[in-house]
Amino acid sequence: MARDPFPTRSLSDREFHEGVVTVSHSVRAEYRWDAGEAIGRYLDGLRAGRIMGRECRECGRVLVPPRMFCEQCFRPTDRWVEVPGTGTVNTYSVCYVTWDLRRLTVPELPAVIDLRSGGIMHKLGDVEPGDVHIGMSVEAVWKPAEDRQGSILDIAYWKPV
Amino acid sequence: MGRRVAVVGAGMTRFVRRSLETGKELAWEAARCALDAAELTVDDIDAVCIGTAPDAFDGVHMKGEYLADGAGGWNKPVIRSYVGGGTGVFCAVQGWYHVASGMFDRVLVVAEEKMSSTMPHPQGAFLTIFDHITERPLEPNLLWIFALEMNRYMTTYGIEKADIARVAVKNKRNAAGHPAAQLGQADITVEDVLASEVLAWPVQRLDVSPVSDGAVAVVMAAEDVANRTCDKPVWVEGVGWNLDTAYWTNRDLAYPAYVERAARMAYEMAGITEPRREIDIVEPYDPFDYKELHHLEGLQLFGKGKAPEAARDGVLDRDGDLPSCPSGGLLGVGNPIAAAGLMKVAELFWQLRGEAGARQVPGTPHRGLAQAWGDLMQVGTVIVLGR
Amino acid sequence: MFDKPAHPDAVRLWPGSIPISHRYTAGLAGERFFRALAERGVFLASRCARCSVVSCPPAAFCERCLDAVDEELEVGPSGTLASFTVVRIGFDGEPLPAPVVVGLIRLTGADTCLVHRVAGDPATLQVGMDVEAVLRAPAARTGSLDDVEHFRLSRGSSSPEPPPRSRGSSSPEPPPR
Repeated sequence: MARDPFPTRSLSDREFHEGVVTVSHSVRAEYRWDAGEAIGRYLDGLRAGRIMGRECRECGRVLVPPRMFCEQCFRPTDRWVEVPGTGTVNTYSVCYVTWDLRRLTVPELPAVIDLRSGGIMHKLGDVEPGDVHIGMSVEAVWKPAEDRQGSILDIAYWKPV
Repeated sequence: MGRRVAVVGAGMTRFVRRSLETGKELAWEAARCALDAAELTVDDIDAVCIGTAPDAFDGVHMKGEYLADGAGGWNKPVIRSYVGGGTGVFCAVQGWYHVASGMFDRVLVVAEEKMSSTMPHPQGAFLTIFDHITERPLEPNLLWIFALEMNRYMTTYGIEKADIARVAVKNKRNAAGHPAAQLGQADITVEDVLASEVLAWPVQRLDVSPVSDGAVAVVMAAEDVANRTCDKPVWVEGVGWNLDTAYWTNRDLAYPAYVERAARMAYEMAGITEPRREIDIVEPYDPFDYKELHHLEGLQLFGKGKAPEAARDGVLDRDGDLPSCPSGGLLGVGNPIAAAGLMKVAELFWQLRGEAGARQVPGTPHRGLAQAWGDLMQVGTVIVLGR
Repeated sequence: MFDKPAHPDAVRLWPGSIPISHRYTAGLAGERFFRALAERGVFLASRCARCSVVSCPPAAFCERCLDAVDEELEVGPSGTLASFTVVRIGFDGEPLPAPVVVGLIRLTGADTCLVHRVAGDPATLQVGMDVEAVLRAPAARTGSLDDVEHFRLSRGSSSPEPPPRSRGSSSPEPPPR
């Protein structure tokens, strides 16, 4: 560029933590979110061991996670449809780190699993990372009924069929 | 579409991992630099457009208002926009319509981010981008989204990791010529990238842009003002922006349709019918190396799955047929989220005026495109500049 | 458009939080201000050469003209009480064990105000009174706004002259004791 940039004062990690004046603060942001009608039913369905979607008759999609409106057709969705607990791996990753970049002892297998008309995010299990491939058929492994609470974790993971 | 608008000045801070400067002081440094470059004072500015991404990074609520007095906003009409990583180009679009509308003759656009404030890591702020009920219980990690998209893209088109790594190498080497860069490295190789730590396969450490603090500012002016006061105005020829669904798992991850739609909007406005032929320089958003390729395809510059070949064949190099990220991009210069996008706009300003120094692309480039992307991977923002 | 919910009492609430922490640098100007406060027990201010505005806490730049501000001076430790409020309710709406007075203080020599605690019986306070800073002992100061324990009425401080009443104007009622 024609001119040099501003002499921005870069700090080393040590200077940042020990050398300069700083103030630390944690935000206390606590919430109780209303699940809404669609997700409320979705969670009820998960507790019952079922995956519930909403169908839009206009585009024909069965939406999971369900919503009371179709964002593509911009109209209310029409009816509840149960979706089978089987799907295909749309994509996956082998993750070796936590969110703050600490190393995991056992890698996780996050994935997008395609259901009727699109996928949901979840995790794969009972499979070696090297044996996973895009397009693989998988099925939901449900927690026992007495352990299900109405949560996406009522499905423990997805495993190859 | 309204009055013609030009960029008449640009400035930036260095991009660093941690600055002593507060966010407000970073905004001021960039604003001062841009005003000096345009030989203007803050009194010459009619309105201010601020771009800054989540308040959570700097940790200051109502961050736009907080930054405003560093950004020249005192006692002026000020607007702050935020579309995640797309913000840096989006606030330039805002600057454009402020002037094109006829309401303001000279607008200062300032983009800033101070990510170093977030403890222990800015990822903590990103985590809440996942749905609080249907996704967060899985304890996801932002890297997952990128890794999942990268894998889908690679597998769909049979792309080799080495071709993607070439983009990281290109950008970090390009950034060695950028005086403000955080990670410029003239001697980095593809082997270095492929040997770097695997974080969330296929994402490795050197595929990822850094956490950064920094700010950028540009001055935009109406046609008559620009012609009167600027030796080489750089004209805004097209703008576009588009938002896709937040239900990201229901979308086709192999192709960024929202980037295509934003690009088409900008091309139509600019009268561009053959973008590959009519654009001389491109600055696509590159928070990860694969994203540059992904975006080049969305921008209609290469066919689906075809951008990696261009990387392999040197087409995207600074002296190639379509220089891509001659600045060094996010991978090389740094990624203070909103400022990174506006850095690309500033880069085009310098390149098209022949002022990019060691980074100058050869020949006489006439037209450039800058693109940014963000939110839950769903926004495309595009600007076309020309001389 | 939508069916009425069949069980309106079964609203499902999902508790959660956004866990986030920050470490803020004081910045170019703040670094100098807090070091001076901790090490020398003085209040630094900045003065813009063009606009003549004296800011305390100091700023690295002037927001009016956007010039860099280089002139540094000391202000205070006395000042005037530009405004104050008596806070009786805490952050979560709980009653505080004792009321806390928060004041807007213009240090002598500065054009701008800063916010801090004011000690003493709220009944003795009036806008316009002279106040002075009470600093913690040097060994206890860390480079923080808390290095100032509070402000208090200056020794020998008395009620300021009441403002002249123009026709039709009225002063706000003092808060109930």
